Amino acid sequence: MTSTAAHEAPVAGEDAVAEIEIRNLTMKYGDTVAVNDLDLDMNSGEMLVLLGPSGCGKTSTMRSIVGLETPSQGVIRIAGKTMFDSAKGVSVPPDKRGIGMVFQSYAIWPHKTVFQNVAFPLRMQRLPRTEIRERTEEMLETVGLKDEGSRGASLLSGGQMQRVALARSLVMRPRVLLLDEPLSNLDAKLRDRLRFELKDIQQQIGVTSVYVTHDQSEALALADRVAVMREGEVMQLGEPMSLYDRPQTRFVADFLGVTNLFPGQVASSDGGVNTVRLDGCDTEVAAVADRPAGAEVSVCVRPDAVTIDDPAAPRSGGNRFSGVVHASSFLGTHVRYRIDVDDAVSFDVVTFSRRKIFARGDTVTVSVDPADVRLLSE
Amino acid sequence: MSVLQQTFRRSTRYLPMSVILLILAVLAVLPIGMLIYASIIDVVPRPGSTGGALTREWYSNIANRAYLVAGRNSMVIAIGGTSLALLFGTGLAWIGARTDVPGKSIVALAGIVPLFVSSLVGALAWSFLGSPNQGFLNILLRPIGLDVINVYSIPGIIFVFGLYYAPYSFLLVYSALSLMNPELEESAHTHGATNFTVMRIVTLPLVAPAIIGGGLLTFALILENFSVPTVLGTPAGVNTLPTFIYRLMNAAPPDANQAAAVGALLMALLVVIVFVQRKVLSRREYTTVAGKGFRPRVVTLGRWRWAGFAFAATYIFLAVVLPLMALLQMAFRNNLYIAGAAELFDPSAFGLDTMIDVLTYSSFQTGITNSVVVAVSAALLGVVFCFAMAFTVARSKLPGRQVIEYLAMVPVAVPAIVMGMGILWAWFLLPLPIYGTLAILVFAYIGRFMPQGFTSIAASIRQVHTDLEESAVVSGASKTRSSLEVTVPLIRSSVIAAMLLLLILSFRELSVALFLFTTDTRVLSIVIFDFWNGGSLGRAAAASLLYSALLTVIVLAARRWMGVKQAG
Ligand SMILES: Nc1ncnc2c1ncn2[C@@H]1O[C@H](COP(=O)(O)OP(=O)(O)OP(=O)(O)O)[C@@H](O)[C@H]1O
Ligand SMILES: [Mg+2]
Repeated sequence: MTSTAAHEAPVAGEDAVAEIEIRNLTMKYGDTVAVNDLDLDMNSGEMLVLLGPSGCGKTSTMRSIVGLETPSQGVIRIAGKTMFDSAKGVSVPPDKRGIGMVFQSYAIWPHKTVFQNVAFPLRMQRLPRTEIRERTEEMLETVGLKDEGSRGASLLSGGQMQRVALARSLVMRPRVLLLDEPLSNLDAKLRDRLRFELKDIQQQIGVTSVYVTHDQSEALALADRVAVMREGEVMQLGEPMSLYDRPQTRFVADFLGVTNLFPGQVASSDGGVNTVRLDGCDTEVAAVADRPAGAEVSVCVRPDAVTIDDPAAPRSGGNRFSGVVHASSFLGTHVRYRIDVDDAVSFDVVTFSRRKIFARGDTVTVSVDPADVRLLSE
Repeated sequence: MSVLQQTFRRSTRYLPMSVILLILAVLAVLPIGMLIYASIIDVVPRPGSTGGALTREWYSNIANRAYLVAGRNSMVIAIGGTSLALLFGTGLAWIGARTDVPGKSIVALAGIVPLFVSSLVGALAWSFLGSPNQGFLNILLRPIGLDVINVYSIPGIIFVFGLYYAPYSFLLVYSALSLMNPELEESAHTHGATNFTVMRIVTLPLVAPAIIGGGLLTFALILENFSVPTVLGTPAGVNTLPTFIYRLMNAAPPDANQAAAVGALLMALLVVIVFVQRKVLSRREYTTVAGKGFRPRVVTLGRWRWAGFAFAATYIFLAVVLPLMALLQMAFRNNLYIAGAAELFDPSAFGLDTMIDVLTYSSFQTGITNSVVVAVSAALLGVVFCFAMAFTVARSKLPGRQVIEYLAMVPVAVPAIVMGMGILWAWFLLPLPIYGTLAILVFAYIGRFMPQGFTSIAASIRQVHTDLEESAVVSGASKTRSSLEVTVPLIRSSVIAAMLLLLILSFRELSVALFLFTTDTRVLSIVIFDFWNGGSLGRAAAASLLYSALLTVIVLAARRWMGVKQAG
């Protein structure tokens, strides 16, 4: 995690009012429930990433916050001010909420210049002309488009459009910024670069942000906290590292890219250590956990928590399996293996050591510390 | 307070939609309701009166021979006219889009020019050319004994329809042929098919929906047309359903209920045709692969190039050149009696008398003013109303917005002459006394042409991504502000095109106005019709020329904004 200490300071204040407060939010399109009884609190200045598969309701949540959709139920408060409350019949229209939003398509108006695009929110606030000019130019400088102001917006490249969209959403100094998959239309290289730039600008301005994506590496790289969503509900909310290290459900682990997930049943439970028999084979895995015998679980092991050795290497404790290298790929900084342990189980292993490289067909020993094995429910 | 606020918000939210629905009710629902009502009661609709007992009499009368003959004539003429129009239209479309014929752009232009000649003028011109004995063509052909042309007949009517309704199928087929992915044909070619086989097994099936859709549209338009069968059928005693309706309404005393029953039947027929036509055309989407950057495959005609050119030239000659010459002859002749072919070319027979007479004629002058006022108002108000409807349908989330879409399209299936009747009766009921003013004509034209305006504006709004508007709203603009700042500028050229289309269509229209004008509110088309009706053929010709010249000026001025596809 790269977030700075200064940035975390307001988060620490226990009794501070949450910047965004969402209670029991439910939103429907006809009969389709897009957001289901969702609760969410966000702290001032933090960047929260909504992560989830396509159709899980990320965009709908965002559109409800900004006021473009009317939820059927719930409360939304921003900085203590009620924006929406179904019980009291309060619904502040989107043009009065003062929330900045970057659309997935950028929604840059092609018939206006870059400057006119960015100045628009200030014009809507009826600010004096000189102030509009000053603030717009300042904003264009922040996003690195100082000299492009007079260009027609239809002539911009994807990356430039993204900057214009960001500038336009920030120029009115919103308390809250929403970004809906802002990088998904760009090619991979540009995406990496802009991701850091975006994070920089966000921290510099200190605006509370919600960032939507379905790309888990983007989520982990950007977020102060990640909310993993599924079918309109938040499955798990936490800081990226804790989420990755301690997923609570198979869905979250799977979505965050933890590849070693095996269904099984707890065979025995003894003094804080469970033995799990994996489905469809005789392999047993020990885990530091406390489940009752007979429980259906998923065994979850991060690929970087698995070590592989020559069969001849000295044995240590824990889970040890004998396996055959099925595939190995060199990926620059690390090597990735696929090791078949038996017919139903094969481990995905990442190793950063180049001391010994194994080839397809080699027989190896795979070992995992029981403390690194997590047992998850569905 | 919050309950009050909520009620207030709810009622303002529904206000625009309620206004739109109210206008639609006046423009479309009420007229149709009144028409059907008049066809089942035993008293004539009158201002303020809605009484009367139910009767089946008007419908059972239709079994009478005279109606059946008119019905049969309508069908024969519609089938014949459609076939001929399809022949001209698809022929020109293929030659213009897919061959190496010389002067291709002229061919493409030829396909749409007659759109801007009103069918009234076309029929008048052909009555001068092809009437028995005195028709110019017969005078010219008499020396060689071929003076046998007679447009005052069913074949004559079919011929004139074929000429002036070809542009509709031309437009549809032309765009299908030019948007077709050439790879579809090329792949057949590389697998060994000859030119002719490619056309039969690939091209034709792919453009079939456009041909069928264009044919059905033409069929519907011919079926409801009033002016051509009136001008060419009256001398020979040939009636069609629309001319019959007119006759019933103009009888003394008017047989209004009977006219309503015939009108309702004609409308029912049109509803079926329009329904089938929409079904066929909606399938067009995935048959012709629309896409940019295709260069349509061109067939090399070789020696046949000039045959293709001759086909296009003949069409233009028959649809534009000959009629224009006939109008010029009639308008500038001092003496309308012509003894022989030589007199057609005798300079001393010509003069400006008729033209000056028409230009100084007060009802012609009011006619021009009225036409301009009515067409401009209908175009301006119509486009605003169509925009409001299209925006509500495409952008709001209000329940019931689909109803607007259906109602806006209703007039497509209502024959113009029948609509005129319905509007007349509808305004008997409404508290605004606008009968006898130009306002009722403006209402009638907006009602008649709102499907065209609505369709083209709705299509362009749907092309504007909603994100563009929503980002303006999020930036602090109200809904109205955002549509003015973002939507309107982005679709400006389509809105202008739609407005010009409404202007041209309104300017051209005759039938819907037939029962709605009074002496002071005659528009140009009515003035010409009255000249013809009163036997002032020279004046009718002169006025037609001026009328067509005005239309041409409007079209030329409008050309900048109107692509070929918007002209229909
Ligand atoms: N305009 C709409 N009308 C009806 N259903 C909709 C509409 N928009 C979204 N939905 C449905 O609501 C659910 C949530 O959609 P939403 O757009 O919020 O998902 P998302 O998480 O943003 O997905 P993606 O990653 O694909 O953008 C989906 O089941 C979707 O099909
Ligand atoms: Mg989305």
